[in-house]
Amino acid sequence: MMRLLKYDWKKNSTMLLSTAVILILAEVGLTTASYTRGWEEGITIGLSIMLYVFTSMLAVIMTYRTFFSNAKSYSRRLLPVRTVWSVLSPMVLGSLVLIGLGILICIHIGVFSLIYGVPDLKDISTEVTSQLLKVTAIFVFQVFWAYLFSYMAIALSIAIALMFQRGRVWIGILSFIVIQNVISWIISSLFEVSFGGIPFLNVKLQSNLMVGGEVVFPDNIMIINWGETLLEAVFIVLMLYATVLLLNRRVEA
Amino acid sequence: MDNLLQFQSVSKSYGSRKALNDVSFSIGPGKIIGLLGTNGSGKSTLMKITAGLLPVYSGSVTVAGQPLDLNTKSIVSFMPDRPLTESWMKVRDAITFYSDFYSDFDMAKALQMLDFMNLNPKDRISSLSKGMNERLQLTLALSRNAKLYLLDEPIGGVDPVARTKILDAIVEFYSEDSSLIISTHLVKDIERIFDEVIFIKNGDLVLHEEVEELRLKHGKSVDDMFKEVFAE
Repeated sequence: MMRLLKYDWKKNSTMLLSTAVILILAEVGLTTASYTRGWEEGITIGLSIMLYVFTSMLAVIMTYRTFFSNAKSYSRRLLPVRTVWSVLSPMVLGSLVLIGLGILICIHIGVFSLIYGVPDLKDISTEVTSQLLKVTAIFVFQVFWAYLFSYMAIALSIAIALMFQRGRVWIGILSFIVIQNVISWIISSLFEVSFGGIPFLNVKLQSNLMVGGEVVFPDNIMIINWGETLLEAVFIVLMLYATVLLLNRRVEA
Repeated sequence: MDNLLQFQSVSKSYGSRKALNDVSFSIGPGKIIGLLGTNGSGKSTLMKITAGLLPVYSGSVTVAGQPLDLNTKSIVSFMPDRPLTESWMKVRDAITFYSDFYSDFDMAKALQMLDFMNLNPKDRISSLSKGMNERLQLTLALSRNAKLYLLDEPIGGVDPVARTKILDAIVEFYSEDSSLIISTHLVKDIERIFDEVIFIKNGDLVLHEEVEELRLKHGKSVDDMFKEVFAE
């Protein structure tokens, strides 16, 4: 899979690197403008988050596009490589890009803290740090989990659509809606789903987290519902299996 | 002698249109076979099935005695009618791509072929002309030491100079232990290199014969025979 990953990276590197440069320039520009013109911190944080969310969406869409073009490409379909690796390679690339984005966000938080003193990284006690790390780890896990589910659901939808010669776009969209809703319904009927009934965000928030002021973390601020997570893992594996099966047996290049 | 490629009662449809109809034949090693037919006769379909790009068909296909799977992909080298390369690549990236994925890829042969074809490794593939692109695709396909080569219309749509260069390259770089199937409808330009010919008409195999036998039996060249069989 490493070789596939290498070529998926090369295929997208120009777009990814140029996006990264634009993002860094935009964030630097935003922070500088905010500091020199005395903008409110909340506005700066909000705009920064918007830029990061937009960039992460671009990265995720890139993985779907890469999977789609690989699934149709002769150069990839002819390779003596197991199909499962071809399915997973764009997903791994997307994960690495999101990790890179996470590192960039951490650096940005550090820079922001140096400029504005918020969050005050020196004053965070060991107890708060351990809770903060826990919350961050759970948040990162949730983001990855939601990304993994959406990637597999879209990969399966694309594989279903590619079985047909006509109306592929509509078949793909319909497949995604059906897959998403059927799985959500099964999970919702078996578990008490938090966050407004959205599966794949399977944590319970025990207390509000305050931004910008004094941060108090009670014990068990977030609890992962492991039963729900396990069932979701089963669905993710089933979707992967179905995608590989369709690409091997039904999809024609 | 064992068959390198065997088709048994293979049929393939696209919707209501039959592309191959109960096709059976076998090919031994060390042959250059012309797969001849008019446009839409089923030549590309036959090649794509052999290469593993069309998994849905009826009948049985084996390459070197094995049913089509991952292993047969590593012993079949296919030059399709669409590029084997990706738009971001330079010529050297395409060579490295092949070298990374195919254990039978012969880098020395590839470099020799690039030189023979006047291809510059630093050139962007998107900037190559159609003729130069065909030369690159052929270089990629023939630089592997595969057991079976499939070339789909390697001289279609290129000028006579490129055509001659491509045919010379096929003869020069083709490994004689392997077999090579070339599909074309430009019979006159290429018939000199064929050992056997297969005629496909509207999905039916209508003739499979050695070229020498065809000339002796019918007293006609492959091109004349082609015109006779495919006359409308």
